[in-house]
Amino acid sequence: MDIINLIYRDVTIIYITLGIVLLAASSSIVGSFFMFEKKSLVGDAIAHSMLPGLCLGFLFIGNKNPIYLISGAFITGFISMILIDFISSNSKLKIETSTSICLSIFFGMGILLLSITQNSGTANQAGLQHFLFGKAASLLMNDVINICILSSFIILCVILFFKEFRLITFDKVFAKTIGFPVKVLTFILNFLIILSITIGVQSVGVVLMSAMLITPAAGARFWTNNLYKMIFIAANFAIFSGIFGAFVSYTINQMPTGPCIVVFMSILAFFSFLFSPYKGIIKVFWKRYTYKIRIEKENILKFFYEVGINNKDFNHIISFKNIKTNFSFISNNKLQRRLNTLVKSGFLYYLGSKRWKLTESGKHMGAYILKLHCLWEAYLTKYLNIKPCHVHEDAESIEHILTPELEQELISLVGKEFPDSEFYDKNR
Amino acid sequence: MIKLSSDPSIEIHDMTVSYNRKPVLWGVDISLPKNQIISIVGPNGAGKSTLLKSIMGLIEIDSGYIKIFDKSLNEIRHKVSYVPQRESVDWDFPASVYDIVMMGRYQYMGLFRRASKKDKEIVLDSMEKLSIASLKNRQISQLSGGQQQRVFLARALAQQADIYFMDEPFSAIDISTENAIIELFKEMVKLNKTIIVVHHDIYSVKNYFDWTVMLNMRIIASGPTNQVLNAENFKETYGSHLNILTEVSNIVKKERIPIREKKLYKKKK
Repeated sequence: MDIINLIYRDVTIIYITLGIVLLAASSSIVGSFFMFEKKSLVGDAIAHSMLPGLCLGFLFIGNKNPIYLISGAFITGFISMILIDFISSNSKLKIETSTSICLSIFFGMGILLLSITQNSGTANQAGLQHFLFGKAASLLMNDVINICILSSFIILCVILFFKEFRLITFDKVFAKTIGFPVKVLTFILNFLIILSITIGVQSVGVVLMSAMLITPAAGARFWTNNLYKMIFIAANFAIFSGIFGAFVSYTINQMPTGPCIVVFMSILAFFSFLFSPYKGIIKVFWKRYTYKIRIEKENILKFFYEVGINNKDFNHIISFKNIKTNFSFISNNKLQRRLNTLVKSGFLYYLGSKRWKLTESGKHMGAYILKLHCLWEAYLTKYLNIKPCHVHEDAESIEHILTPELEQELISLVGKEFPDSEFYDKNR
Repeated sequence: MIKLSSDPSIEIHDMTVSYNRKPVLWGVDISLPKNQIISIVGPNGAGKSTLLKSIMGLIEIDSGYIKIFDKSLNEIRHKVSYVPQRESVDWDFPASVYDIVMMGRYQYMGLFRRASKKDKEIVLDSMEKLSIASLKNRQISQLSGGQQQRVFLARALAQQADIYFMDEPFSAIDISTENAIIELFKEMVKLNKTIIVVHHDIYSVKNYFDWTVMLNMRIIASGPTNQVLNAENFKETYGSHLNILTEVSNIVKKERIPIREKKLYKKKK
């Protein structure tokens, strides 16, 4: 309750948080388009390149009037962006090289100028180093008002140009051929990017500002394939991280805001990367794991069935040792577990003392897998002219993935030539 | 043999084009007829795509001029449609089939405006014609190569142009789809459309196209397909006795010499 009381009592944290939230939302929205332009790294370079501008602004004026600092930052950021394009299109250097050249040169100059101002002895320079990692607590009412106005302007522009931005990020060439002013639109998008970085440097800092552009979009990409929804999710990620980041930074002394926000954003992005139901890495691994288990089980049933064919007796009893000789690559423990689940799902009878035999449905299943195997072999030999001695291995893996629809199609293709189709049908 | 058309859809006069500073098309001088299905064939690196891109104003030409329906491109842009190569875009972009086909209507919508009822009808109709209406809400990242190609063609159809330039529209599609698309082209020609296609499969040219342009850094032949497609032209297009042209091109690129001298002075102005 103490914390809640603290928030309500302190008006400052409310308006600062509001500023951060708008800033985070606007930069993540415009950053989403930048990500599809494949310019994520360029955003980072632009942000770093703003440091010398900030310092020069201070050196010229001698105090920390935000208008001059921000203008300086905007100008050097802009020059850096032009330079990146110029170098990559007029020399043999590729875009990533020119990006890292500009990033390091401008940032190096910025650090140099920062040292100079710190040694200049004026009392005013204190706090200039906050531009590296950001200090939301240093925002004044005026700064927050500026952030709110400019962020709203950025969001409004994106809403107005949504259709156009979508077209130029997907297919610039087509946009040109229908007479769209692609150069102007690209310029507007770049302008909005630089603007959103500029208004963020004071509260988030030049070093981490690009994470505000890209991280929410990268995380949101895992949850949807719809651009509107993706941008909406990205904005929500950004707002959430903004609120918590600003709060943590404000309540803990000496804690810079930028890293706080970025930590929250990264947690969200990482969470998306792991747990997204569509493309999340855990989902992918889980799929692979269950597929492996299924294949092992199907192969065991097929083995039982084949032994049945060889002995002309589908009730033939097989011991663990026999099975193991055929599945030597599976550990005893795992093999035992697979056999247990097969018993549980009613494909095998357990006869005690490590001996099993097929049930009626186990027989059907075994016959079905063998049928798919033979169908695929027949298809390969007939339509792909692959030698019969080479088709077995291929069919070993394909037999597990053929769907009933593909099965029907294969039967209609190779049905007549299919040697034992009657035999398998009889046993199904 | 370069046959000129008396009532041309497109007329290219003495055009030379460089791509990445390397001259790839020399003195292109052709005129193509209206209301026909026309193919541009030639080996890899012959400049087929470059020819289309120069016509669409995507590459600056070094000399000459291009007229479409006797006008410059900018005057009749809305009558001209261009289908880029399928690989030219990132199909992982988050958009549905409908979103992409709707892009064909953007030129009529103008800035800031949204799709009207008529736009939506045309988009649905275009998807219908390429039998991708059932994929309307499918994400483009989940499409097969042939379906992606049909999405691009539907987008072009939605533009309702009079002349269509298509860069390899038959790559990555199966033969039955290819036939269906050719049938569609024939329907379009009946509605007074002109279709110009960069084509890679020399064997199907005879069956599909009324007029054929054979190209290998320069125009080797242009005329009705049955008159143009002969052993001599074939040998000249695909044979390798163009070494001098290629070597000169390489020198021009290496030494950074503009292919037309007046370009040296333009920059100084």
